[in-house]
Amino acid sequence: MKNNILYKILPLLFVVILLSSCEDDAPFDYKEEHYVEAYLTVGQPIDHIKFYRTVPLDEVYSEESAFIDDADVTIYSENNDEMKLEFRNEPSPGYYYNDDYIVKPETFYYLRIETSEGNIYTDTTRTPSLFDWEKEPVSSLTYPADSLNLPPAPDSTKLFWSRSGNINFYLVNVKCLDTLNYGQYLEPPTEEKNRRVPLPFKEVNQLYRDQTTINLIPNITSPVVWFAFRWYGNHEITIQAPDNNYLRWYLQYLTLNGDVYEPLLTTISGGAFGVFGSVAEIKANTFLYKSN
Amino acid sequence: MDFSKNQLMRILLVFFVLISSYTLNALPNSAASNNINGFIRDKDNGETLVAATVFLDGTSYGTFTSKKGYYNLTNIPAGSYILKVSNVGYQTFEKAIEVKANQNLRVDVDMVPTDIMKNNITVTAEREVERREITVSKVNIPVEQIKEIRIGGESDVFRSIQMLPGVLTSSQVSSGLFIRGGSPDQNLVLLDGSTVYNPSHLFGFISSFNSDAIKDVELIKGGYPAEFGSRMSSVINITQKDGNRNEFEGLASIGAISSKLSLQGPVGKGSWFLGARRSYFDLILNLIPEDDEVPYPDFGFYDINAKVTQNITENDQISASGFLSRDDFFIENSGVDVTFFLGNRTGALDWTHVFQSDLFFDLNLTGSYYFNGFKQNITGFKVKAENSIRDYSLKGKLEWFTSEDLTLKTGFEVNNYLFKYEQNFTGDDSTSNAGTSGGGRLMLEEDDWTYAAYVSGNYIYENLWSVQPGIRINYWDYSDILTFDPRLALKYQIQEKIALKASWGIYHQYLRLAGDENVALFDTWLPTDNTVEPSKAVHYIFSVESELFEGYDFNFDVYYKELENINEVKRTTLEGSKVSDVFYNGNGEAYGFEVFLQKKFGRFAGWVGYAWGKVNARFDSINYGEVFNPKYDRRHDFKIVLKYELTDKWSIGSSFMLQSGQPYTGASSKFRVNMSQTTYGKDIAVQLNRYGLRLPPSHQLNMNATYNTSFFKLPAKFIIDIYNVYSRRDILFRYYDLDGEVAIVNDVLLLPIIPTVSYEVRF
Repeated sequence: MKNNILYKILPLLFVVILLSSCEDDAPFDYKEEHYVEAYLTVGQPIDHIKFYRTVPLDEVYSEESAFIDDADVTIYSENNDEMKLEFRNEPSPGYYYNDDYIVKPETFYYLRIETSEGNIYTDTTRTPSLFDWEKEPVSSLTYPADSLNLPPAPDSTKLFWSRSGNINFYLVNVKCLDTLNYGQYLEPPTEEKNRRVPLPFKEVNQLYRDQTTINLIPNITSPVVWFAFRWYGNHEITIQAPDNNYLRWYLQYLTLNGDVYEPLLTTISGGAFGVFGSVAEIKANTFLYKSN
Repeated sequence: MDFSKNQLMRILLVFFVLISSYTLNALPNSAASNNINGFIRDKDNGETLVAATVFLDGTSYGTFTSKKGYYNLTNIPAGSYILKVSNVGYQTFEKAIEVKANQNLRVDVDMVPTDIMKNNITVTAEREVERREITVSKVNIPVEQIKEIRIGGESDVFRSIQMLPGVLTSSQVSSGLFIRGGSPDQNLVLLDGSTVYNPSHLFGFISSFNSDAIKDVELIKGGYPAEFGSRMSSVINITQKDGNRNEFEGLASIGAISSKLSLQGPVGKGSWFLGARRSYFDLILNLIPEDDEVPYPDFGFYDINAKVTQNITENDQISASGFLSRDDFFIENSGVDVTFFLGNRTGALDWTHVFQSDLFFDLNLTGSYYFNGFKQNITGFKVKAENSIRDYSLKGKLEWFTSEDLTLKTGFEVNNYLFKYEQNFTGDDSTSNAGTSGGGRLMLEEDDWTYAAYVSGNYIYENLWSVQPGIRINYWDYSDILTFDPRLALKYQIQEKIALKASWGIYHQYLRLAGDENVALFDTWLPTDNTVEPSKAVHYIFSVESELFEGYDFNFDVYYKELENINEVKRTTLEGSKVSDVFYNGNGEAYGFEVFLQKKFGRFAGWVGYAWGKVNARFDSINYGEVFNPKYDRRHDFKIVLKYELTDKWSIGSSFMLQSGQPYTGASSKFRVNMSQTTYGKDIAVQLNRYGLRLPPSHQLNMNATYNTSFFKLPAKFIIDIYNVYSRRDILFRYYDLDGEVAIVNDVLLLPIIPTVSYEVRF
């Protein structure tokens, strides 16, 4: 009888073992690739050109192990300007800089990176046109953390800006300028330390650590979204009009594809991935008060 | 070919009129033959029976009833016969009849249900072999069997279909069906002839078809005849209950997810049926104290089925049916309200007319409306995104049993679609005008017409060979596309109980679905416009269908499917007004084989199925143009469904599935993205080949036990279900978690063991 049962079960076990053998463990083998993260900001010097290599999945990320410092990096403008870029670790480590040139609006730029091995990576961007606040944001806001039944936001707390060319999508960046101090900005100053705004959901750690939140708005006005503030206190609000390349890289940052790189969001040619994008931006400061 | 719209309309109409005229002109001749015909019904409730066997004992004359319960035997030599009718769960009917020369003999039969049927213990997934129509890869699932396969205590049509070999899902909690390599949008889902565009509740956890309201479910996995069009993969044809023609009857049940009530009874010369189902999470949550800082979401669903059937004359039956379903999800937190909703509304008017004993006509007028949407209120600033598809269709079908050997079928279909997509991020919730684009508003509206006509014939040669050629012609107005879909099926009856079948056909698809394969929430249907090529499939199927021993069916199918211009959604698109803005187009192929062994009757019944399949896809824009296996490509698929009647009171059932794991994408390194204003950045893994790796196999065992009892002398049932008996949590997806300093691999797991009880009372 026992043999009979075994006879019936064995084929099933065989199928289970056969199928189990089809499983693939997630790989950690390292394959080096090069990527470019290059942005121009209208009205600013060239200060955000990164040329890096990818790092192994099981290593702690460091700028030093990632950046490539011996490439020949040049940006050309439609006005025949040629800007040679210099690798420096100041003010931020691992960037190629040109402090002498100020990026112009509505201008076509061409990026060329040549590696020491002779690989050439290129991309182009056309900078957005300038725009401005339609109405300056209020200098302070109060977050009623103890009252979740918030009233409709009055227009005074909304953000209004003009359109940049034919751009439909804007990025609203909310950066906390001082995550430690709160009371010293009050009148009269106090010793009170800054603290986080309670969020009703758990953010992934990487975003939680960042002092800036970024939200995509398909409009030229936006309400104040309390989730955009991670801390109380002193904040800088930056509205960016992105070109299409920068917008794509923001979608990469959002990682719509999980935490996995989406090849369709890259614009660099020549074998590396990444973007050469540009933004025009406006800024304003505001202070977020705790309600009590 | 360059036709104007009017020319094409004329061609299609002339095509149908010519065929119909030819058919009607043949009437005097047909009346000269000796025919037996009629309807087969359940004696207790008067429901017509689908696929009942009707034959003359001791002869080779026999047939099966149609979906309307109608049968017809033609060219019967004059003489005395014993007419026999049999059907699963019914006593065999026998009657002596006398056929005279030039006589149409009408014999309507009321079949007496057996105890097996009354106790709902039959487990069958009957593979119907119709004499007058070759349908390869077709499975009929009686509703009694549907009720035995449950998830969370809820019996479900799509869960039952998923237990058939070759039918896959993107996960164990998804009701989207991937049939022989085809995606869910390639399945034509019909409810009384109306197309249902998103038949799901709870974001796809269960289907929106209430099994208490369903009479018959038919699945054609491929190679379907010219009568069906507009989809590339399969047909799921669901018929609602007509209602009890003899007496008032009701059924009430209470389960873990929902409660159901169905009522039916006679009216006039026919019957009516009303069924409703409602979830009650919202009612339960209201009773639980809520933390203001972490409020519960409010969600739920309901559906309603209704049908009225009338026999106006002996040869005319009309029916009107309707179906409503809706899901809502709402959460409010920190001044932000978020609402999701989706629903279906369908209605169908059907007129069936028997012109002559051998000429059957059906006219079907239907409407279907599917909508979904998202609304957000951010402290008074309102944003919304909504989309819908409205579909009115008129279908006509003429079926002529010209002789015992030749059956002709012809028909037409006219559809009017209205597609709407609206998004409004301006802060107010006003509706935009059609064509609006920019300033935070987008309102797309497209009205389109499609036309189709078909003709097919079935010829039987010496009761051994059958050949069934057919053609379907489609014209799509907006894109000005004319397609020809030829179909051919062959059958060779080796022995009485063994048949070889082969099928070939071309299938074009007009609609495209932008949605998520895991969550049926924002499904957006789009037409084929001028910017994309029509989707097309070519099916090649070979099948062996047999009854190995008395009561044991054994079937073997091999298939190959070419897929052209299939879609993958561009998840990186933020705006667009053309269909090509939403999809990447590519090609693919699917091939495999299926083995299916089934025991239909007895205390111990059920089936075992195994399928081996492979799907290859290639898109220029995806995976660097290299071939990849889509997420739903599972190589092996093994399923068992069993039912055992322990006593008159107790019965037990179980289902088990074992499948290859789904493909997933691995990674080779990571990099850090820093937007210009961020201070920390975010790590992202660099992917290897898309879906180049495979997850561990999926397997799951479900069991149920039913106790037949009484409630104040009314028949009642107490049902215990255990979903995922040994709590093997399948992997929904695998990802690299880059939150920490080094990457770790995490799996998002599906549901553990869920025991539930439900109770139902019949009155």
